[in-house]
Amino acid sequence: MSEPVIRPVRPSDVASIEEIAVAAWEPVFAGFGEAMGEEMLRATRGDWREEKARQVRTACQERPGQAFVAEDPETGRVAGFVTFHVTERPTKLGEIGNNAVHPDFQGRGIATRLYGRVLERLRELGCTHAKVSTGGDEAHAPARRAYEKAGFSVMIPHVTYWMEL
Amino acid sequence: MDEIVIRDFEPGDTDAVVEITVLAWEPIFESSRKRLGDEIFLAEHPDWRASKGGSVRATLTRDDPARCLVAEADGRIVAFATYNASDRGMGRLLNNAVHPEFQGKGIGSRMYALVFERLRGLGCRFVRVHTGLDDAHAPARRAYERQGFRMLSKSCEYFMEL
Repeated sequence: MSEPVIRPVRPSDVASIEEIAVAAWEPVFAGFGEAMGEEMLRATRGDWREEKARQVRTACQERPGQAFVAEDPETGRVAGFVTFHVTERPTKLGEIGNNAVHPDFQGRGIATRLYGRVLERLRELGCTHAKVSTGGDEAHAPARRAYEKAGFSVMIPHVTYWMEL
Repeated sequence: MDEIVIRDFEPGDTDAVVEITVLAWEPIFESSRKRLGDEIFLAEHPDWRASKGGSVRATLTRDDPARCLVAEADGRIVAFATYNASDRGMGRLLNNAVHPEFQGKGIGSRMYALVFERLRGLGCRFVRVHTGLDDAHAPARRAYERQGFRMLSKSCEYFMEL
């Protein structure tokens, strides 16, 4: 199997990216559903699939210079994507946003290569630091390992609590 | 101690709320600075007092302000709790703090109870709150767990120098 090629996002990638994003977040929202009950998840979060698809669609369409995809050279399929953005406070800080690898392509180091490409771009843009937020649960263990492998060296843990009223 | 009165925020309370914010978040940002190291911390928070105080001020003074309760002791604001309600029945407890000199007196619990009552009145069936999992947030987590909050999800914020 040839290695996927990392390249900037194109308008024709958007449908694949939406599909990959929704598939990747299924286990995360399934976990929320287990904690809160499916009915309450729908009641309180609305249609998360539509919301997640909208986030990645907006990022790719409005900020195409801030998204990369991994393309399988044999089939032309999008294997994964990553979005990012830069804030100035006033030091330039880069932040990795939504990203995911299609289940068919997981476990091949594609995420690590996508992050590497973003970090290279952030350096070119003059960023001195980078940050990324991810889940702290078991489902995100591979993501955390990939971020640590990419060089994210320090971490601040957070928690969200909820209760019925 | 003087009697504590919990009441709705009024615009004249803004400076006192911002002052409590800065005092109460000092140990939180200090813990963050130790964990991140000076360089990353300063890139992320070049002036945390101005940015944290400013963000709380902005939530209270913008066109569509967050809801807020304050606790008053003898005419002095000693605590505040901001919150809001989504139209889907999920309430959020947002920035909240008790002045360090008034902590440990149950003022937070009384404010939370009234926040929950208000959220029920707004049609909320649930409430969420976000906090840190580091040592500096241990008092906040204990306070939330005493109210009956249960863990929904954990998250991580990673940083690196480029």
